[in-house]
Amino acid sequence: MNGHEDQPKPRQRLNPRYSPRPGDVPDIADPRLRLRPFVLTAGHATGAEKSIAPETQIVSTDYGYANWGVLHFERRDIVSLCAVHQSVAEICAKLSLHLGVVRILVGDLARDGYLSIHVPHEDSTHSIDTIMRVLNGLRAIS
Amino acid sequence: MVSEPSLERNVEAAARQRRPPLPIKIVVAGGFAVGKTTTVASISEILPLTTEAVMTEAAAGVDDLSQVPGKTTTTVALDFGRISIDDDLTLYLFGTPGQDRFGFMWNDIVQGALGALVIVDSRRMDECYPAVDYFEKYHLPFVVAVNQFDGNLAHDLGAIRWALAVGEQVPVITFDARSRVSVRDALIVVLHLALERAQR
Repeated sequence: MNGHEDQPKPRQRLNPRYSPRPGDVPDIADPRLRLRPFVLTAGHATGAEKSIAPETQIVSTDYGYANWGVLHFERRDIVSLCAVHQSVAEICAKLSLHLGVVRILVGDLARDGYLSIHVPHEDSTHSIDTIMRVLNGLRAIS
Repeated sequence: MVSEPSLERNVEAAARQRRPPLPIKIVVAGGFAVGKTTTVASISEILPLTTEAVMTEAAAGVDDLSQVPGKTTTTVALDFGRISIDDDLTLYLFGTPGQDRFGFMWNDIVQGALGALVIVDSRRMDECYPAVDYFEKYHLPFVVAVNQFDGNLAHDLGAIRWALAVGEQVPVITFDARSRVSVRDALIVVLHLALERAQR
């Protein structure tokens, strides 16, 4: 999944509780990140989440809605929150998670059947009909 | 007696029946402290929320950041707001980070946007130049909106247009970021531009 064979080996940290496993790829460039985002994402730095934009709508599947209780921590929070559709940006803000982390977790949770990702076709978001509807909606604001 | 949790559950179940809305996006850009968050707050139905993202200085002109050795990163906050147009359509406003030197990871925010509002403080014109450069380069329709903090402009609109060196097709307007109606009108100008493009 993470395909980073050509990256340098993870640096051994002074913290004795930290012992990287094979496949862990800490972000060595930013000491402020520490280990945390990579723990959250199980070591993924990139994934199949390229299509997930900040405004992309996420909602739990019926399976996810019924089974979020088996998940832990951030995954549980995300699937639980997405009982009602949310944008990725709202997930980040409400759970205080980084955009990059949420994109990876959402990608994983969708792959595992807990979430569905609604990626609109650009034809529909940029159509004359859509723009006219937004214009009319804005004009109604006073 | 209906207990509170089951009522919530019913509301949630009803909300689950609805399809997620189509998200429409407009970017609000500009330099540091020109009124981007104020603009979003004036019209958003939710208080502007903040999303943190890790930005990469080396991002300018580089597609795959994971391939950049020795990259330096910083955490910045993105403000955004939301306007529900109807049950099926939601307009999102994303404010770009104020620090222009990190501006060029904007791809995530700008990708798929209908257009942009570039907010200008007429006393600090040059702070909006990176945003103008960016939107020109990626052919995103944009409107230059000069924020009238106190009803006065340091330069008239003609001088501002000259300084920005933007073409006739770019509207240069004044607005008040604190006024909902004024922000609404500025967004309508952005949408008219997007409409012209869609009709071509």
